[in-house]
Amino acid sequence: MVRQVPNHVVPHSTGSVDGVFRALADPSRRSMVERLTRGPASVGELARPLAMSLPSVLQHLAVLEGAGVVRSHKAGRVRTCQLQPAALGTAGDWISARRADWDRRLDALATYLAQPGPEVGADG
Amino acid sequence: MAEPATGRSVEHATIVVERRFPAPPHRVWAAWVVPDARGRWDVPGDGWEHVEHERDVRVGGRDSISFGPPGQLRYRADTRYEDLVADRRLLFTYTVWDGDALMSVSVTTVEVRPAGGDAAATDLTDLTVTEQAAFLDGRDDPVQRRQGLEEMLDQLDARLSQGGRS
Repeated sequence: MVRQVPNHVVPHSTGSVDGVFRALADPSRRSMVERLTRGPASVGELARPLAMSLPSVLQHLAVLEGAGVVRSHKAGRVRTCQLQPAALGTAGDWISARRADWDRRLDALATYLAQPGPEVGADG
Repeated sequence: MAEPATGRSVEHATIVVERRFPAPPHRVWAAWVVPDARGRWDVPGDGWEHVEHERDVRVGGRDSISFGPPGQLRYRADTRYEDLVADRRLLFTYTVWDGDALMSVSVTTVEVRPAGGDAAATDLTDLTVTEQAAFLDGRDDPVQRRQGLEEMLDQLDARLSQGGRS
């Protein structure tokens, strides 16, 4: 069961993470994404539990693809959808964490440099 | 399993951080390359523990440290110094492992420049760190992807309850 999240518009700002948030702020799209965590699915398979018209499903799919959460390809008459691994992955978190870690380290360097130190020089 | 193996995805990022320090360039440089000095500021934060296996700041030299939450030295950072220009530049590559899972591979440049007119007389230094990194994402099975969705929804919850602009 996908959890319930207040269904109002996420404030606008730039960046792909916010695109993902906007995409997930809709319960039907969350259901689709939750289904895709179990593996790829055709558009028909995604539509079935939603009791929604195919054009509506395709519209939701377009939002998910635009946000980079899902990608799809068509083979014959069947469009198959799957999750983009990076969208729900840890890479974005690690990028933010790495930047925060540099800020912390350079703060520590500033503190170290502010203390009077011996005039050490490198050996080269 | 019907799901084809997708392997781990990779995401690239360039991180640039700049600072100005009220210290001459040679002191800023020494803070990076002199082992005793480096160990006084370049340590993991937040009460984390660390063990330094190796510290050898010269071209071809390597650093290696293990670090992590108290009692759990799960991460390992291995650095290789590729280019060093005294009082000016360090260029190094490093990998970060979480146990036996590779998390990231990076190329990092640290540039040290005198700030102010006379390079010989300044007590002000500009520092720029540029890290070009490849981050590996390990969420390659349904349970992990579901966990990723839950974490994303946690963040969405937090954002929406803050209200207004983030």
